[in-house]
Amino acid sequence: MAPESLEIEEEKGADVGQVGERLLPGPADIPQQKPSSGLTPRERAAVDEAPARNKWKLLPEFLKVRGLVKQHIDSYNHFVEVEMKKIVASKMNREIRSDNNHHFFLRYEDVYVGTPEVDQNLITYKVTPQECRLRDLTYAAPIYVDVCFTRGRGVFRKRKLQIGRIPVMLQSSRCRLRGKSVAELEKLKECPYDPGGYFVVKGSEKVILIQEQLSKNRIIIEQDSKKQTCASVTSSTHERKSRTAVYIKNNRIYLKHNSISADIPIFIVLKAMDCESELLINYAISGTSGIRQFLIASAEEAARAGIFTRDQALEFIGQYIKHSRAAKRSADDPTNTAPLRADEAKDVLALMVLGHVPVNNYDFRDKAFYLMYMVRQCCQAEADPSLLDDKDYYGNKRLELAGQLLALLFEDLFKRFNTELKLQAERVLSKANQADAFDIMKHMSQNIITNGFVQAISTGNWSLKRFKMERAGVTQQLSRLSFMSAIGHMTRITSQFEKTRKVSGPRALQPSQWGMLCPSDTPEGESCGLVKNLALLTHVTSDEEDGPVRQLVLRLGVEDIKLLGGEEIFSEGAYVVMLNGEILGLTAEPEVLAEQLRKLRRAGRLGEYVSVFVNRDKATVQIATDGGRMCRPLIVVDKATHRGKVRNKHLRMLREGKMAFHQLLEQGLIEYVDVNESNNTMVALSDVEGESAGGATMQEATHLEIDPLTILGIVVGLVPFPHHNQSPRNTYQCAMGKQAVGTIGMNQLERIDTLLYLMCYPHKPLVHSRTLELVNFDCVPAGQNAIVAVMSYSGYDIEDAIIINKSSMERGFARCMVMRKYATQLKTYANNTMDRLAPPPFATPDAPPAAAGKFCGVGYDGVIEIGSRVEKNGVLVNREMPTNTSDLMVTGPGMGHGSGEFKPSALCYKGPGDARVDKVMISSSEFESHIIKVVTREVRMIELGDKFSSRHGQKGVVGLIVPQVDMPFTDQGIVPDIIMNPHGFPSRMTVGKLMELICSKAGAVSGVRQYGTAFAENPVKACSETLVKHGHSYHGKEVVTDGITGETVEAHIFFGPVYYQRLKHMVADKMHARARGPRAVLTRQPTEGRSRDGGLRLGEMERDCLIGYGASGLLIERLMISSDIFEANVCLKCGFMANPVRCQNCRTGAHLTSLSLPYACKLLFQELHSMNIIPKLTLQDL
Amino acid sequence: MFRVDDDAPHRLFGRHEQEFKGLDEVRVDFVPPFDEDELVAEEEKKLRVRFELRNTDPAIANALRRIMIAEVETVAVDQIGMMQNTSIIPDEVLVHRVAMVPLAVDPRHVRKGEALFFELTITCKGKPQNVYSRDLLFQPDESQTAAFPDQKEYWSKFNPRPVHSDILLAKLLPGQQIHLRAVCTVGKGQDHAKWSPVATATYRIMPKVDVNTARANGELAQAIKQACPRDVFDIEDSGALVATDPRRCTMCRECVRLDEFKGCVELYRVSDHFIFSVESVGSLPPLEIVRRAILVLKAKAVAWKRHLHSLQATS
Repeated sequence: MAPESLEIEEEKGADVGQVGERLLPGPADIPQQKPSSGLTPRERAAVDEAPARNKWKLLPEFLKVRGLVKQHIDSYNHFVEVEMKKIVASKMNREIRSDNNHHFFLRYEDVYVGTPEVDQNLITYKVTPQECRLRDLTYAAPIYVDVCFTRGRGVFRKRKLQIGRIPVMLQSSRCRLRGKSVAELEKLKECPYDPGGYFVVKGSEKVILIQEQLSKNRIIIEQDSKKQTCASVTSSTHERKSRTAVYIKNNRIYLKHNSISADIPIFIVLKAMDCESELLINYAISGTSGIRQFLIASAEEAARAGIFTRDQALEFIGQYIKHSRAAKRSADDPTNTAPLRADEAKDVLALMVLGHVPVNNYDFRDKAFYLMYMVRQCCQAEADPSLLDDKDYYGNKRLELAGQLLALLFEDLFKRFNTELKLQAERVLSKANQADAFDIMKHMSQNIITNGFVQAISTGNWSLKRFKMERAGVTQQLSRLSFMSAIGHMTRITSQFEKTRKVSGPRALQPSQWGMLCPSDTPEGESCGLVKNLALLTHVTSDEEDGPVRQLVLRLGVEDIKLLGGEEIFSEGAYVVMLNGEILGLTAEPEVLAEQLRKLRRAGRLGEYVSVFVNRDKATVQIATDGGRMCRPLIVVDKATHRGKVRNKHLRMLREGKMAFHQLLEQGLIEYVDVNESNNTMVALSDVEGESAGGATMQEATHLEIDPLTILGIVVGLVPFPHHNQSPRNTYQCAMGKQAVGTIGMNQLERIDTLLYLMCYPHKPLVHSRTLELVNFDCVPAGQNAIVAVMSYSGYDIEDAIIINKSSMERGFARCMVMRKYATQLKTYANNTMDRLAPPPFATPDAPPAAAGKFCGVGYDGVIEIGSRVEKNGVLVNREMPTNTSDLMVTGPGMGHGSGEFKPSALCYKGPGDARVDKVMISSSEFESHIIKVVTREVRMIELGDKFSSRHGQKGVVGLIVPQVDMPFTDQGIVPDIIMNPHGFPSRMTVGKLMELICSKAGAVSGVRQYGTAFAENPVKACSETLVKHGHSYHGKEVVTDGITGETVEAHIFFGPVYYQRLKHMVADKMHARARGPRAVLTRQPTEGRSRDGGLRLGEMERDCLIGYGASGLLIERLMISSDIFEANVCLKCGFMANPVRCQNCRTGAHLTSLSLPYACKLLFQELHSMNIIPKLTLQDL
Repeated sequence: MFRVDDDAPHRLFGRHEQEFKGLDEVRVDFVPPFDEDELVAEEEKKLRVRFELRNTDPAIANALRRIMIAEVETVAVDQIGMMQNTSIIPDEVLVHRVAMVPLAVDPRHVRKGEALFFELTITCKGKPQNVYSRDLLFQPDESQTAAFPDQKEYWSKFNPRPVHSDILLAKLLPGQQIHLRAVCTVGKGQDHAKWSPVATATYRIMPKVDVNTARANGELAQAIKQACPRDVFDIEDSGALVATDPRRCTMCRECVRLDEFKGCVELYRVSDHFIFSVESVGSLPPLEIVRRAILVLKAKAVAWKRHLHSLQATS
């Protein structure tokens, strides 16, 4: 079938690319409905019931409800709406009482967050994110509490009391942009395609990166650093975090915990937990002979230590408690309130060891079973190493999102806030006689919380001593190089793993990553494999209440652990049911249980993110409701018909708006499957007759993939035909797509960024993909469809260099703009003096600004005028600073109009030259009354050495710019924009690029854009046929004529459009050379670096070459004469350096001679002198 | 002469084996500028000319092509004074767009040292508004009056204006305005693409299609005829394939691509026969461009000849 007709059919049914009603419809997106009237009701019913051929159409529907960065927004919303209230309502935080006055209290009754606003001169008004960006403000909303408190004798209640401000995530439930239409967003100067999910703090956009961690409250069997088999759990509850490990050493089992200083034999611990009988322990743990040997040895060790009863065990453990208060107890001092050792041990065992297993009234039963379970797992793994857990397995990992991190921060800040309040209260209430009744309302300082948030987000340092947390680099400035880089930033995951360690395990692609994390999008170099990106549909769960699940599981016939003995637990065929890592009970029919739970989940009776996983190897059923798990939606396969439950009718109803995506979830047609549960599924690719179902046949399949392309991330969506490329090439493109110059958003010209690269005439790519439609790349493109001839030309194209057509360049090909921000403030100093703006010298109010010179274009107000040209070191803002900013001056405040009292401190343009002023903003920030931002604009044509890349990881620099007449041309007279050397292909194996060229060409001749979606149907054959139909060669190769000789080129040239990206690395930003220039003060050597106009270093290796060559004269010239030559005077008698007339050491000037040496050498001698080391210079004639 | 095979075009004689033909033998035939089956607007036809150049060297044909693109003079905007631009489009980009507008001015009418001024003054009132090339108005300038006092009357005969009136230059919102003055000068395409008088000036080398009638007949002949997207072939009554219209061939090589077609058809490019196609951007009539290109070429030849003579004289 010819691609046109194929395309038309596609277009009719589709309404692709519309992510949410808030987005602009792209040109191809106007939904045209296929006239269905042609079908009889029966035919229609048949079509409706048929398996959905275009399952991928679920994607736009899904993303319509989800958005691209739902993980961040959901997490933040969960924090603001649920977590925050929990923190404030928790027992430790909700009340402040005074030790001095028992009547006093302050109780928090509720907490909630308002909408973003800003205080300006005591006026509070609503802000937009854009205003915050421009004015360097923080986009934050007030946190309100309802409180009940005492003042004097009375009890008062106050509602909506502000306690601080919290930065608001864009597009979150508190954000002003939430649910706004395109027109409204435009009014707010916001890009309608911007996904949100970041913060605006002090004017800069900050992303809280997703952090990857090992999961909490789960038993992990591993080999520790000493190669001992070890079962460890990191317990994490709201109150405390601790790590407990059970390990085997010399066949004996020990318990290790971070609040117990020594490792305790396991039998002693178990005895302390009320399991005094060895027999019971033996029964509870084992049975099998493989394990018994460890138990016997461990039991013996406890017996040898003379520990037989619970009290003895507690006493024993009590000796090893860290930071023990019991140790301070002495018999002599009856007032000492320290606890008994045994009591303290009991507390530690109850609260600290395995802290996530609840212990009520010191009933250790559950905990003991848990511990014994760990022991058993550990022993089994010791016998059979294949039972060790894989630490890199993604089911054992949790992702920490903005909400969780902010929750920790808020808890810390809120506690600090309360402590501060309490301190204030104590200070006042401890006084014997107070003048007025103490009013706590007067002591509410909002700064603790407000500044705490701002500080943490703007620096990225999460240092919370309370939670033993010390993390740097949690936030990053949102990369706005291109739209793709911003989106890619939001899906990024960093690992806590150190980058320096050279281990491959955590960096390697993990099979369990399938569908959850993008296999291609990771950086090269040191953080390769540690920084990852979410796949297209991955969702990260939030914490969910587990109480209802617990009850439900027990009602479904799971035998409660409390009613069972050890023997039953480990009996053959009994499956342990665990909820979030906690043992609930036993079941004999795990599959039935799982099936029932899944059925309930599909019916909407359980949370959609609850996962049920039957682990046959370990005989467990794992139920998880905790946050941070990665999951993704899959279509459920109907067991009876072996077809996916989503049928054509559902797609039709979605399209017609009669059904919403969430209904698919509610009706159980689609469900979320997390990493663990994926192990219980068989996922087929397609249920349509004649299409390959993939690895699983439809008979055995349990789920159906929505579309295979969803295993990739958003950024790989840029690559056409990624499944035909060598894998690393896709990875390279992921890195380069983020550097492509293009459009960064619809509001790009309203923005004031430090550095912004924009393309003058960006194109939509001729070959695009479904992923690109989902992110609306067509509206924010970065690149141009260049006509490429793959041929060798001139020799200036070796090593991936490309040849550019000069006329294309002159007509605007790859032309880009560079916008740069220059900002300054007019400060007010301590002595009330102020910076001021001054008119340029000799300026008059009526005359136009100077047309040349340093003050070119600067108006009478001291600020440069829009549109004027600026040159290097030209003044942008003619600011003047008071000469005296510290002393209080006689003239008093507001003075300083005399010229002598000010010195110039102008803001100057530093670029290489020929830029123009694009816009000037004069405003005020939170702290400064005047901030002035000047944006300069530079338009850049292509230059030799500028970097380009296609979308297949094929980068190259411009090697030659050739006049159009010299370029080869086809029979139609088409001249290429770019000539690329064919040697780029064989070793790179980027077949996708060849396919892109053919499809682009077919698209161009037939006027229909082609799809290059990952894993989709291959359109190349159809495209080739289109080419033939339009008189081109089937293979896309043209007969071309050489523009220089006018003769036919003796090869067929692969010729057609390829989407090329101009990358941000441009010669104009990097070119540097100097003949003479500034020198460093200390060493008198030339400065370093382009920004300081530095010299080019002749380094050690270069020096070695010159030595080897024997070029001594050149060496002296390079290293001394052209660098830091110094004329020193040396006293021949004592060998010291002296001043020109007299040696201070010999007290005479008689023996002086002069000597040339590097200043650095002279400096070294003097420094040695100062350390009492005397280098002497002994001179002699050669 | 090249034989265009499926793998590559192959030169059939050595580069210099072909005999150089004297310029006297050069033959020029004008052919309809478009194929019969192409649908082209009347206006566009005026901008295009097609002719065939025979009995000459590629060097001559190429020289003609190169000169048309790069060395035939035209008038284009060279400098722009931007007095006001409050539109969304940045100065540099607007300037570039204005400069690319082809102007209907014959460079021969421009006197030595003369520059033409166009002004664009537009303020948007009421509704959002587009700025088109027609808003560029010829405006004799005071700075020229000293040298060319009669500029206004002189140019009124020729009516200098943009060729196309509807080239979109910018879009304005209410209150925005653009005021610029463009200085137009005579220049060549080799200095900047804006001075190039042609959109395309190109030639293709005459295709020659040889049919091996011994092989290509019957069903195979039908298949080849079907395969050709350009209807080059026909079937004779005898059932043999015949290339009726080789001119239509685009060298797509469909007739030689498949294995079963091997040995049926041979494609050639006749290297002394060039089919030129010249499409003017509109500032000059296409034939005029060809004529002036030939004059430039002639002037070059004369200059060379003179140079060679002087070399001869000195040696």
